[in-house]
Amino acid sequence: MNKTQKSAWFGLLSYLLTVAIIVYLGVRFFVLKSLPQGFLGRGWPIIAVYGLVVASIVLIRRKQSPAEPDSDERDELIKKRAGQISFVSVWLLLAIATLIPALILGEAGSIPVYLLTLINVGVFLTAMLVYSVAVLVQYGRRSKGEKS
Amino acid sequence: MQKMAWLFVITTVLAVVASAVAVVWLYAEFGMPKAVAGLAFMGIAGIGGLGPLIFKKESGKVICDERDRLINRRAALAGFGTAYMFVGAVCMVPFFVLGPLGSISVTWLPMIFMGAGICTFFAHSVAILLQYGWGGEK
Repeated sequence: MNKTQKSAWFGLLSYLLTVAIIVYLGVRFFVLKSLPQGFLGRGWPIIAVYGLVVASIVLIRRKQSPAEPDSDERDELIKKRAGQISFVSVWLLLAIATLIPALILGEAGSIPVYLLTLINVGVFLTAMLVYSVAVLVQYGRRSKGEKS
Repeated sequence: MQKMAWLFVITTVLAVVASAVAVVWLYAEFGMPKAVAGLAFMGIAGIGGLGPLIFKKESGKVICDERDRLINRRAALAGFGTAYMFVGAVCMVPFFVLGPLGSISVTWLPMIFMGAGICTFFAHSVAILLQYGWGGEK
């Protein structure tokens, strides 16, 4: 597995972890209406994020062999395509998230400002998810890459 | 590519200035809901999108090489980054100013989308011109 694939896997894991933390905090705040007790109960998201960051730094930097290049032409092409797909999907999501509420609620409607932060986070997470998935799909989701 | 970038920069600046003047003038005359009509001048920026029709490719002439593609790619990244920073700022500022329980009119949402689009194309064009050194020489 090369550096680009490892980066994509960590991007995907980061997305899943962030979604898990948001869902967990949402359930705690809005459904259970209570904060978790204990060090692990409150601190597991921070521990998990730090663990993922440290693991990603260590594993992405580690090469299969000293002669392995950081990236070649094919990797650059795959990253370029994934970037384009991510770019288009972010614009589509932003259009949906901004235009549809305006159409549904009408001119007199209003939205709470925390929804704007969710739109912001949602756009960022979508960019990360789509980019990572696009990279992995192009490599064929296998460690040795796509079939020739 | 430079000519199209210049066209977009000029039309966008014109659109923003004309819209700002119109909104301020309409606000002073009629108040807020009608002042928003001044944003119609942002349509001037749409002329920038006609660049490929205005500056047509001459037949048989190579107009784009590897360096131009690299410049265009970097400029596209700059445009995307700028738009994302714009969306981030516009989404977070009301949260900190009004507080988490505050609310805003839903009419701001399409404006955020329009602003992000204009930021993308404007930053893209400026990045192209910066990389070419603003001048006509390659």
